Amino acid sequence: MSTLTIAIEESSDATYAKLYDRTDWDSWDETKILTVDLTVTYDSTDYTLELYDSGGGIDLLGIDDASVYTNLCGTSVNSYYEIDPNLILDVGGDPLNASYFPDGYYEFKLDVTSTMAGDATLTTTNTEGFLAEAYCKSSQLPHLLDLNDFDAHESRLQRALISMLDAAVRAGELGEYTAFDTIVTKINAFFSARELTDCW
Amino acid sequence: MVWTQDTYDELVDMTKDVMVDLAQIICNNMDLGKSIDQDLDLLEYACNLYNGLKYGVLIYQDEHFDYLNEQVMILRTRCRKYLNV
Repeated sequence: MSTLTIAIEESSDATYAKLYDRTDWDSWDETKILTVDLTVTYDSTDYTLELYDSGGGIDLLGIDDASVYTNLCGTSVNSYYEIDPNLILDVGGDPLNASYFPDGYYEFKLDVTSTMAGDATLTTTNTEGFLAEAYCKSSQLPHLLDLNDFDAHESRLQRALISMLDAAVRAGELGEYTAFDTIVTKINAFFSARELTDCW
Repeated sequence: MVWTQDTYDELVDMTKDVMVDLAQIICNNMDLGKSIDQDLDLLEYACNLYNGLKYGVLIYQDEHFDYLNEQVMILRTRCRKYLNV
């Protein structure tokens, strides 16, 4: 088996995040998976979710359905588990959020214990920049087009903002928190100056 | 060159790096009251390169990735020069 590899993707309405298992498991054997635990770090707080425990009757991933699964999340590399922000809890039992993932920098750590690699715990961490609300807000930017009075400067700034949103997401993926923070601060200042309505 | 998953992933990360560098250069120039025009053009170009890489996987061709790699390297050299890295 190669390295434990996952991918995380925020839904466009931020109500969930998709967890993909990209691990090359060679020959998948669900009976050898013991536990799967997810830890999400947001704003310096850890939130956890027990996804699977073969001895504890927990199977949020549905991997006990041996006849069809090929990895932790389903039948193909494109299968995913929807991470609900309301189900991942801090040490006090409070959820990350009742209904959506707030924009920000996240770390997703997956721990898998398995007998496949000599009872080893396999761990992988992905960093992500979640900016669904900022993207939603940016959809309010273009002004009513007036060809006789086109504000090219404002239009250019708006284009800059869209590209910077893309760059901020990439900074999150690369784990560059400082760059993510710098770019997002600029984006938020841009939004504040334009009095846009919150999306959720 | 013959592209593998590893070299492809490396190029994707390099492209992301370039996008992040250019966005930071734009933030810096905004703070300094300087023009962002050229860097914005380059950032948009880098975003296009990233999309070219992302969707280029569907028509996997070594020549396509060679071409994108060349463009990314040009941008990276420019960013490093600006950032004095």
